[in-house]
Amino acid sequence: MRSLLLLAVAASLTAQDGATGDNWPSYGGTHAAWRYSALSQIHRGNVGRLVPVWAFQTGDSHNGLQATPIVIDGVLYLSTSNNWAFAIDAASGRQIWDYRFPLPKEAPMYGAQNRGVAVGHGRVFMGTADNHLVALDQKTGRELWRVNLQDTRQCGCNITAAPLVVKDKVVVGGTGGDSAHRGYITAFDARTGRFAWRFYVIPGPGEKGHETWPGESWRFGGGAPWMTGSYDPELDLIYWGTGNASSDLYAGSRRGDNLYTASIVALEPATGKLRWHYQEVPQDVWDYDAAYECILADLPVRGRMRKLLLHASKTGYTFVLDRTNGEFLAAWPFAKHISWIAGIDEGGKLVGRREPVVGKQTLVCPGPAGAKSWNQAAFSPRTGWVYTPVMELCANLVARPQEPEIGKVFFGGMALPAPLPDGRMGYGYLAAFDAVTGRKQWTYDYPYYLLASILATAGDLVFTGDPEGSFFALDARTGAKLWSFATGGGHRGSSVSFAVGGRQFIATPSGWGSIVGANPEGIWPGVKFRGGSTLFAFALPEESPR
Amino acid sequence: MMALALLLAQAAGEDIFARGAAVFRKTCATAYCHGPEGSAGRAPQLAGRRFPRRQLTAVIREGIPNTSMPGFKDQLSSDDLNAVTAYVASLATAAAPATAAGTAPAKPPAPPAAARGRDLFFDPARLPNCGVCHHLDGWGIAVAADLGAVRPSNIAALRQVRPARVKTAQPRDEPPFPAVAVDSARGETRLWDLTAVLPVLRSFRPEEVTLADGSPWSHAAATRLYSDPELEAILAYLRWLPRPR
Repeated sequence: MRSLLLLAVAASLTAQDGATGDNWPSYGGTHAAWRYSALSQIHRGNVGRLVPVWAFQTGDSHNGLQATPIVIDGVLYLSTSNNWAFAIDAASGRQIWDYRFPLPKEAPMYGAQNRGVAVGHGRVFMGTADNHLVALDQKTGRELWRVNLQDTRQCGCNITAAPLVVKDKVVVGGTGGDSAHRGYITAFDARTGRFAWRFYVIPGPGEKGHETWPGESWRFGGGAPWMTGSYDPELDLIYWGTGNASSDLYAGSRRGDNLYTASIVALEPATGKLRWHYQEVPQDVWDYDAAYECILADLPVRGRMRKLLLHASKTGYTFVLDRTNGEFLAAWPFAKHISWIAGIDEGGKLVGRREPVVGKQTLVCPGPAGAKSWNQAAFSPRTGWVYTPVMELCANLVARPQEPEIGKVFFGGMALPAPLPDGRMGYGYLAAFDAVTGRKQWTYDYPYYLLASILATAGDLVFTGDPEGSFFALDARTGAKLWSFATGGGHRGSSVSFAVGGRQFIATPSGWGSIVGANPEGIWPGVKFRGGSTLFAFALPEESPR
Repeated sequence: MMALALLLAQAAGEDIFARGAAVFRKTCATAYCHGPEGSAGRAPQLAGRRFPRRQLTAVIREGIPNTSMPGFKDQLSSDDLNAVTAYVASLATAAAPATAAGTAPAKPPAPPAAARGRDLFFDPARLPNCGVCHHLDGWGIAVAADLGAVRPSNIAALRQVRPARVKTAQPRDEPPFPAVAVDSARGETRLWDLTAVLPVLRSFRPEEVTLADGSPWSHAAATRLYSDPELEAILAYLRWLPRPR
């Protein structure tokens, strides 16, 4: 090979390495969820010459393509919204195998969508819209086992997140936080599918924390952990974010802290036992899930190296915790419009709650869609910055007492988008923040919302896509746009980087969809973001100098 | 009233459906509610469903008590109310799957003992619960006997039942496990693996596994999380359920 991959040496900013290399082995890149690639063949000086190498059209364009591809040893693994799965040759885009999970005719609760597969133990794992976990043979796509976690009609829940492979287990978190449901994380033996443990987000009778739920409210209290967790192999801890308390806007029947909703939990992989928790929003009445990605980075805080967990949530704050014990270190705002509280004090306590009221509108920022959606931020060890996709939005909330009905929507009120103080209905941007202090470094502005994940690379580049179909690269240090390509479909998934035979690729899904993705069309009439379901792979032209 | 509004709107040259679509988009289609064109968000799907006009008008004006659906009679002008009602009615012809999301009918009310038995049967707070292997009354996973046909006479019988269909699977590369055969089609042998609390539907190549009659698996172990009074309530539920035709 006449070109050499320049593997960037990770800056001495961090001790542990969460970077990916030739492979993209897990939903967040590695288990540390940095979404950062150490590959730097593509860099600021040559990204302007990036060209499309291949496109793969899945054929399942309902609700767009929202997945993160996994790439291992030159094979790319992808799932679609209706639970099709593909293995694709990562250099050429040619299909190796495909699989379709037989979903029932009934439309799934909240629509069909899927954020990706996990790969390990010779298997490809996928959660389904009807609450199954299925394992496929990695080489052939043949189904090996499937488990029904609980009848989806009963729980009003399903799996949309990518599973997480941790040692000999595969772990999944489910949805259902807007249903009358008690959320859970479940672990299975990766090889056989046999049940290993279930962590209920809401403690049962006799368990510590159960006293934070009056009466029977614990049975329907939500806390759905509906995204993908992270894992620290040295500490041997799984970290997972949990969802909002139910009913979302009305807490009349659940006066109490409502543990462990809107929290980060640290679990022991062998047993699912809770080691520690940190609750971001006690008695959540704003639909403020804490379900998003947990970025694990070792960084200096006040002069001392700490093992951190960085967590941006719907609240508009990024929480900085010590991941060995859950100690609160800091919370820095990443959004401008935050009115649900006056602030967070030095101990993490919320100050000045502005809660929805029964029967009357209360203007609250951010609205229930959150200052950030589930599309992931990226952390670069070279800059020490977290590249965060931000939504500025407010809502008029009206709470309504509601009786829980198993498996049915349990929202407890109504939320309508409301204008920001400057009169706009909302807008978005990608901003770079210092990971520990939250000091903003630069902003890339956008008139609507940016709802794709961010990818950072050692070439000092940051990649993402917008709902109008543009996939683009920014200078990681300045935010200047260096390259773009019109993919035609809106971006609601996660781009990745990988290498095959010494050639670095950047691959992105395209095709608009999702629940929050439907919001802009109501807010900006006449704006249409295009669906589709296509994966694009880009690289430097073959003959160009590296 | 609707027909008059329609006539007046048409006389005025206005497209009532376009106005209704605009109102719907602004007020109803938020993803926390009915979704774009009624395709479903966190509220029931409207697309492809036909509602009696009187009911539709009443629900839009007054809301539905004890749910998240508010009434809009004080929030929208009467022109907007008429327009959005006409628009939602027009969604009846939109494409829709066989059963719309969020619209399953509520379960019929049961007498107290049977209702308690139903709650216990499907209790998600205990694993295993009966619903993990039995599909019944619209819920549950269909692994074991169809309880529509089989009714144990007392709780001792319930605990002690030893189904002949539970056999022992002997895979080539792992220890034997209790299994229920599913099928052997398309060059694959599919079995339910009953080792752990959730049954696993596993697929083997036919040469990778054999099935032998008999198994140490027992229904007593599967029902271990239920006390005798709880099983009595479950029996009451099974007796209350209508027999299938």
